[in-house]
This record gives sequence, structure tokens and C-alpha cells, in this order.
Amino acid sequence: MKVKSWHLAIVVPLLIFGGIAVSAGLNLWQTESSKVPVTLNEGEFAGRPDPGDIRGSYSLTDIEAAFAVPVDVLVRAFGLGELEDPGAYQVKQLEELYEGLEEGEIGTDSVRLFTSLYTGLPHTPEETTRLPAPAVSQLRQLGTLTEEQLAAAEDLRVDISAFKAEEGEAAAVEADAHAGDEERLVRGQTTFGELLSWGLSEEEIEEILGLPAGPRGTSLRDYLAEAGVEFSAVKTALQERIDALQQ
Amino acid sequence: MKRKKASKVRRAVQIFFFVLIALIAVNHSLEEAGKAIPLLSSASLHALCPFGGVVSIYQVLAGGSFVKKIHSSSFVLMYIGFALALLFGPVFCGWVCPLGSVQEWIGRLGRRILGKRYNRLLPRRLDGLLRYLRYAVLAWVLYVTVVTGVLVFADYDPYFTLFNFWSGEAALSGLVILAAVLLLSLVVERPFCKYACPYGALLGVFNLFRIFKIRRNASTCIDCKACDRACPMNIEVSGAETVRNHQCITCLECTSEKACPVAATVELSTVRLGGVGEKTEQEAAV
Repeated sequence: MKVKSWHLAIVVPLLIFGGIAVSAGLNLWQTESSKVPVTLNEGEFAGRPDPGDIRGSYSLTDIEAAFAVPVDVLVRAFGLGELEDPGAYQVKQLEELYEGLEEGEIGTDSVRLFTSLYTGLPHTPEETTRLPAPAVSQLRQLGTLTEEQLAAAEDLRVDISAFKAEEGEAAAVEADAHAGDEERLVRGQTTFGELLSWGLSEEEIEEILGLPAGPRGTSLRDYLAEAGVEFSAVKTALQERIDALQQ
Repeated sequence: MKRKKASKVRRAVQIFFFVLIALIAVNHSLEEAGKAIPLLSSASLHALCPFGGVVSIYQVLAGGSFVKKIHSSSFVLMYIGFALALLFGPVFCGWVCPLGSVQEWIGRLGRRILGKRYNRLLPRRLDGLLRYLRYAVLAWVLYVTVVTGVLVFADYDPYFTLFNFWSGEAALSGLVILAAVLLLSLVVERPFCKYACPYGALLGVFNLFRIFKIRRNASTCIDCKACDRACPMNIEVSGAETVRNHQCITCLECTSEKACPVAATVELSTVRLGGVGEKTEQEAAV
């Protein structure tokens, strides 16, 4: 059997596009990350998602879904201000936003490190990785990190007050321990992760709710509705405890 | 007339794939700026690179995940590339790869400038040795990707750089290598393919057992060496009855459709063309 040029001109594109079409039909043609991180294989966290697998293409919503770190927390930690659609913000955009740091980098690996410290999952950062000052403040407020971990995070702390969010709607703010205080309003959409980041301990939450604390990414309204508890019955008590922490 | 037509067929396919990949690469940048062209893929170049599948094989087998920036599409393309290579050899290199096409197009200019000296400047012995360099590159790329789990080669890859030089994703090392490859293309045909391409090295192995092979009919051959002169990869087609050289890219430039002046003498075929026993170019040289 002999093959001429025009045969190849038909067969080559046909095999390429036919192969792509068949694989797409079998749902094997993926040109983007599934946004589901691989799980840790060993140790006490085996089976949990690996923060080291967070890719630059992950949006803040992807991270919330995979690691239960609320989008609001990430926005504040990385000084993203008032974005139009914060959930869609891709982690890799941080590198551009914080281009020109005098020392180190704030980028994808910073998000990995923050997520790791926030969730308690292991991750070894790169040497050049830095954390924005608001991120370190958030971790301090979380109250779950050891003194050693906090000291290590402090060593990586970088002042970002000179940078502005790309969308230009708001300046990236140096969110120290008291920044954003006015936002600490308990609402139905408030997540358990936010309550923890505002300084409440799990025990305090459980004491007020009369229920075990829910997953970090779950909103109070959803969780309480499922448990058959009225949100309004616990809202005031939660708000008072948070207000007391701020004084 | 037929010969010109045959040349145009391959060029048309090369232009098609070059334009397609260029448009997708531009659309990828536009998408990041929120201005993507509708109905056109905006996949990253990594997602459309069959070699990405090759470098991910170890990680997929060992850890069940892809190397960062690589997706299942790279694996699909890798399988398609292997299927094509099993049938026709490295036809991907000769007909599809946009970097190969660009080198070839620049080479046309080099041919005008240097005339018969074009693609014949390197001493034969040195040239022959350098041809194996791409296997060292392949081994190095596979090794560093396995060790780091990162696409280290992207920083040196002229193909990635060619379609990303505007995006800020291209590394300086890649830009330097791309410039060197394009400049060398004025002197040597397809220098990257010949001496450094790791994917070409892998596909080249298929030349040993591909189903459709470049075959020469010794009984009708007039020994004019037109096939040798036409081969962009400097393979001595006239010295063999079956070309099994690892550098053949199945461009068909040597065949009776194009360079060979005698009908049905050099062809891409499954069966031996007339003559006696089948000899490879190496055997014929002995």
C-alpha cells in the first residue's frame, strides 16, 4: 500500500481531530486543571487535600471548595480589597499584583503556605515565598497556630501597603489585627471559618450554638437550618462575643 | 506540475497548524485579560503539547497526577502522536509541529543566500555525532521533570517561547534559545529538530518499526542522488532500499512525488518496491 502527500494531508488532521473528538466524547479531553488537588499519601493527614498542589489557575472559590478557607479570608489575607468577583480571582494573578517586592515573592506558593497554616495541613514553602502582613495577622487571630509557627510566619511577613489591587476598585490594605473590624458582622452567610478567623474558638462557638462547630467553609444559616436551629436565636450571642473580642 | 502540487499540500497543512496554534496561544492571553475570542479554544500551550504527556508518564504512574500545568489533553495528544508515528514515523515533525515549520520557512531564505552550501556546512562526522545530542536532551528533560515535578524544560523550550514571547511567561533562556534556533535555521535546515528536540528524538525511534516506510526501488533508481539533496535531514536515501534513519520526518521531499525524477522509485509504502532483498541505508553503506 502506497501513501501520497494528499493522503497524509487528510489522514494526519483526521487522526488528530478525530482523536480529540473521541476523547472529548469520553470526557478525557481536559485542557484545564480539574481544580481538585491531589490528596496527601502519608502521615496523619493521609487522604486530605495537599496544599502543595494548589495551582496558579485555582480561583479563590476553588480553594474554598477544596480546603474550606473562605474567599473573604483569602481576600483580606492577600490585600485584594473590594474585587467585583473575588471568588473568580486566580492565584497566579498575585505574582503580577505584587511584582517588584524588594525581597522574595508573593504568589501561588504564598497561598499554599497560608492555606497550609490555616488548615493545619503540611506544606514546605519555597525559599523565596513571603506572606502579606494581613495574612500573618489573620493567622495570629485564628488562634490555632503554635508560637513556633507564628514566629516562622512573622519571618516571612511583608508590608504590602504600597501595592494596589489590579481591579483598581480598592487599595490593598494593610489589614492589621483591627483592620476590617467594621466588617465583623454575623450574618447568615458568615462561615465557621470566618468566626474562627475573628478570634472565636471552636469551644466558644459550640457553647453558643449548642452544637458541634461546622466545617470552615459552611455558612451559619445552612448549617443551622440543617440542624433545625433558628439563626436568629444565636446571632446576637455570637455578635456580642465577637464585639467583646475587639474591645 | 504534480510535484509543485505535492509540495503545496504539505505546506498548506503546516500553515494550518501554525495558524491554529498561534490563534489559540493569542486567545489564551486574551482570555486572561477577559477578552477571549468566542468559539476558539483558549487552552494553554502546555495543554496542547504531546510532549507534556511524555514527561508526565512517570508522575501519572507513580502518583496518579499530572505534572503541574499538564492536563489529560496532553496525554490524548501523546497517544495520537504515537499512533501517527507507528503508522508513518515522525509525521508530526514534518507536517504538524509549528516550530519545525518556522525553521523550514526561514531555511528557504537561507537556501537563497547560501545556495548549494545551505544545510551542508557542518563536517559530516561532527554532524552525525551531534544528531544523538537530542537523546541526551530527552534524558535530561525526563530526569529533571521526574525529580522536580515541574516543567523545567518550558524555560528552555523554543516552541513554548515562540507562542508566548509576548505573554511574560517566556523565560530569558527560552528567548535566547529561540533566537539561536531561528538564526541557525538560515544555515542548517531544522537545527532544533536535528540536534536538540527531545520529542523528535522519541518519535524518531518509531522509524525503526513504523508500518509505512520510505522505500527506494533499486531496480528503477538512476542513482542521481536527487533524493539525498532534497532531504532536509541530510539522510542518504539513495544508499538504502528502506529508510530507517532515526531522523526521518516523513516530509516526502525525497519521493517520486517531489524530488525523485523516476516514477514509483522512492515512495512511502508498506511493501518493498521491486528489487532484491531489503536493505537499510546503514546496511547499504557497509
